[in-house]
Amino acid sequence: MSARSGGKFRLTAMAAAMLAVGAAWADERDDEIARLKRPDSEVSVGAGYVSDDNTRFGQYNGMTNEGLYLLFDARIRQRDDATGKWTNITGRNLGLESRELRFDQSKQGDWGYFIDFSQTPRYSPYTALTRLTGYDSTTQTVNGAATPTQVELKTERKALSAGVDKWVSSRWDVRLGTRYEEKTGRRLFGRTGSDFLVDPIDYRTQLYEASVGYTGEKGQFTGGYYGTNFVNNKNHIDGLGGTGPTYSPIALPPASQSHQAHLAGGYNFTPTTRGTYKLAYTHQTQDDTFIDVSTTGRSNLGGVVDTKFGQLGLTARPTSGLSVVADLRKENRDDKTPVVDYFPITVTGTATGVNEPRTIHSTVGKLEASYLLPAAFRLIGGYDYDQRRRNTSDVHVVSYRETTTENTLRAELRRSLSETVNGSIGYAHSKRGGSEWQTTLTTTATGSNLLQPLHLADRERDKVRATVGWTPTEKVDLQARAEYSKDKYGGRTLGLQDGTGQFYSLDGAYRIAESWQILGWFSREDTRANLLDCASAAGTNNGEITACPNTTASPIWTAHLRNVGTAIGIGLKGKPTGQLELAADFQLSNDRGEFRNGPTPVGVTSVPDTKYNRSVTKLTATYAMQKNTGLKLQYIHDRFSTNDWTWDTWTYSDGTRILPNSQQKVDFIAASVYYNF
Amino acid sequence: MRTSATVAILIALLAGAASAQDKPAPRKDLVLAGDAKCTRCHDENDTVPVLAIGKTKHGTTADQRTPTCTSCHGESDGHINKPANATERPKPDRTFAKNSKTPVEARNAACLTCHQGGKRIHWMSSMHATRDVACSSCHEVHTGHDKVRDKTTQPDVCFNCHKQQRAEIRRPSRHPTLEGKVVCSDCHNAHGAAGEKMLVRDSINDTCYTCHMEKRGPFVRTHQPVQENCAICHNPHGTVNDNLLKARMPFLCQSCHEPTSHRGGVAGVTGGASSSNASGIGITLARACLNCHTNIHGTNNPKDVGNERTFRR
Repeated sequence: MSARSGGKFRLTAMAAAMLAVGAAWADERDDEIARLKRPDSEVSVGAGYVSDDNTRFGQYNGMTNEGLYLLFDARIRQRDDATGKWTNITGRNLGLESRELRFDQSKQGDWGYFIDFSQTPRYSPYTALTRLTGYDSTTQTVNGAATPTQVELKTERKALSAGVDKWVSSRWDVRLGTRYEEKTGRRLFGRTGSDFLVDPIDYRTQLYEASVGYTGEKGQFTGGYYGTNFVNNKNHIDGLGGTGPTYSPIALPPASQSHQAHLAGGYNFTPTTRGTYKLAYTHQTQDDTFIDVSTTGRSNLGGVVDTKFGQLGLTARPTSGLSVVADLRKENRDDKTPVVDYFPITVTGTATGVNEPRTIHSTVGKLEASYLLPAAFRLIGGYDYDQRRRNTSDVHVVSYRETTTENTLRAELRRSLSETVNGSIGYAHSKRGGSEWQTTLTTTATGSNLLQPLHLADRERDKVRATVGWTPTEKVDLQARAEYSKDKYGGRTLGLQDGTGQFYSLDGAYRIAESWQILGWFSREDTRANLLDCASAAGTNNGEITACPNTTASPIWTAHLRNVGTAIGIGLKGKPTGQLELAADFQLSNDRGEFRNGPTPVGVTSVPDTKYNRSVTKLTATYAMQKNTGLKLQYIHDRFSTNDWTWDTWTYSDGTRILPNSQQKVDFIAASVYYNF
Repeated sequence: MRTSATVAILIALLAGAASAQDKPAPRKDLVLAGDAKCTRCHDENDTVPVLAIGKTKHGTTADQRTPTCTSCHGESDGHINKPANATERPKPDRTFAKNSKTPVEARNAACLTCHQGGKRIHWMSSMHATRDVACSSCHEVHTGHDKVRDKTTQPDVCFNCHKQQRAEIRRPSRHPTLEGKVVCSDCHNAHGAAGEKMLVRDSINDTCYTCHMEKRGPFVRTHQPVQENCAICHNPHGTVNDNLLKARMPFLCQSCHEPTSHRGGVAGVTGGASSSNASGIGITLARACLNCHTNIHGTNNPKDVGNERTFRR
């Protein structure tokens, strides 16, 4: 009769039986009903064994070494039915580095609080074999050790969150929340292409929220404060040795903070018409002490970014068949950081000593109508508007335009063809243009203006999509989706020229028997982009390709970039007996990257394709030994392989090698006992 | 013979019990106020077990706001008292199964009666609402374990529709979504938002900064697309390139940067030198462009040694 055993309780049958055998059974029935409506709790304890050292299987759960691991999970849910007070304890992966533990209590509709701890490791797929010393500190010495040592590249986040909420009345509530997170560890870093360094991560991130909410029948709103604080305990690296002090110290991210006031709400003008809004103002500052002496005498940037955000929305159903959505939002991110000339231009290659605040204003709108046609067709038409305006620095080395505007028209036809078949087909056409292109500028000369940056380029995009869902019987469910998009870029001469994207997926589920189901899915994504570029173009040009030397050593070249991804999932689950549950799951992900670049200068070999294969086979058996106690067995076979050549032949100046760990084969077996109550 | 005898005894006892009462005692509510008219027929053996709602917040009867069966399903008189001329018992006024004939708006209205405030203020204008996604498409009400509210099972619920993300999240560079550590709702508010992409913050960058705050600056030297939109270079759902980059370097960088100086160099796995920015390995292998431009998100170094505008120090 336990939930695990799958025993079902038929009240009608039992009611008859009770009459037959007397009142004693009535108590049993009440007990059973109480159990059926009582919140579930479960604790499980066990152990798992990992067969091999790895960097993929345990990347985010911490099981990267061969050996035994404690598996400990708990989910305790208790409710005092008389008062409506809940007490919950949730522990997951408590024996692993990815542990989570949460405690919360609440009196539903009155008050509540929680405290939550979460730990998340991330093991880099790469391992460094290096003679670098001091890699966990801000003073690192290239070539500092006589012999290389293996350095694990890992980061870890530990977050503590807490919050309280209180319903002041049936309509008003107050909420307070905070999160404090430490992120520590090591990440790949380096300088000049010659020296291997480690980014010695030691961050603290804090979030604070306070809000007041109102929920009425017609109007609702929430307003409050959102604050953030970022601290970096290691904000620079002194890199000794190697290429020398020229590139030392290196700055690491500075501390910063922000304060936001916000108000959002909605109002039901009529049962079919609703308006929404949001207003927010954010004041962000960055005044961390510089890591090095500034020739200006300033000790910090004095960075200030003020962001104003506003949104207005309206949804209406003027007739039973017509619904309309209109939405407009505007965000003005004003970078008010003082503009200062930090150093004189004395070093070759330096174009300016002036810092470059980035101000960005965006306006995004949507207008959409949905109309119910005869024969259950629904036609949706929409128009989207997206404008971005950016400031320009006096010096910039990338072709630039201050404004880009994208307009999109789209239409979609949907229909529930029958109770068993539904589908849709949609088409969207987008066109992005912008203001005049601004030629790159140095302090001394007009520069190059050949290439259209991908986010600023003129772009025409066509996209079609079709979906079909078919449920021929209660046992069978099939879904299919196909998407195709085509981009064409323009504006300048070089850069992305065009691209396509295709996506297909098939999903199927079949209920073989009352307690057995098989499901499977397949998807394939194929994205392509064609890049046109040239080497060593003349520094001053009028945007014509004639600025490219187009010689053997400095050719005009193309790259036909392509990613092809195929993913498959197959699952089978069932209950051969009342006590036994079985599940099998297989997932395959196969990706290929193509580059096909050339022509290449003499001695340069174009970039080969890369392939990535991952398969995970998972078998699970759960056996209920007693009413509330059972055994869970699990086996996982996880394989990964790649021919990615990124690090294969690379050696840093001190002989440091990065081991890519290209092959993985891991078996994991686990057994745990659970107890329900 | 034995079975027949048992049945006979049962019938006799039942008849006796029935005759001992002038009229049947009123049925008791089992979970919610007034549910007796429903639970006289519906029990835990239904396709959708009804009593398990008692395990949920909706089963907390001490909370005066807790709904009854009819709050969501309607009075459903025709369903409770089947009309004599009906060949099949009519469905309840509002049903929520996948093949329900109740319009999605009517289904959602039952939920919005109570759940329209807080993080659901923008539901009506959300892509989910305007594409006929019902609350019950994602949420399971009659169970103690609502999959979409459990971080370990939530992604599978979202992937029922978001097939492309289901594939991307399995690529070599990804967030720990499959492990239930960073899940869909950490970044997206499925109930609607004032900002883009139904994100939990008003912009893509502000959402990313909740975990990656070191990237926000402002810096002495800022990289324009970094300040504008993280998604210009990154696909947060997963890619084959390190650091969730949409394309491999140097091609990604060459999609913006002018081909003067070394920036138009031809990528290659041979030729050049590791410390060289010419065509060949220096711009292609290891960290590629980042071999030199190591602080690509921006640097706060106020001094100049070798063109700090280009994030080398």
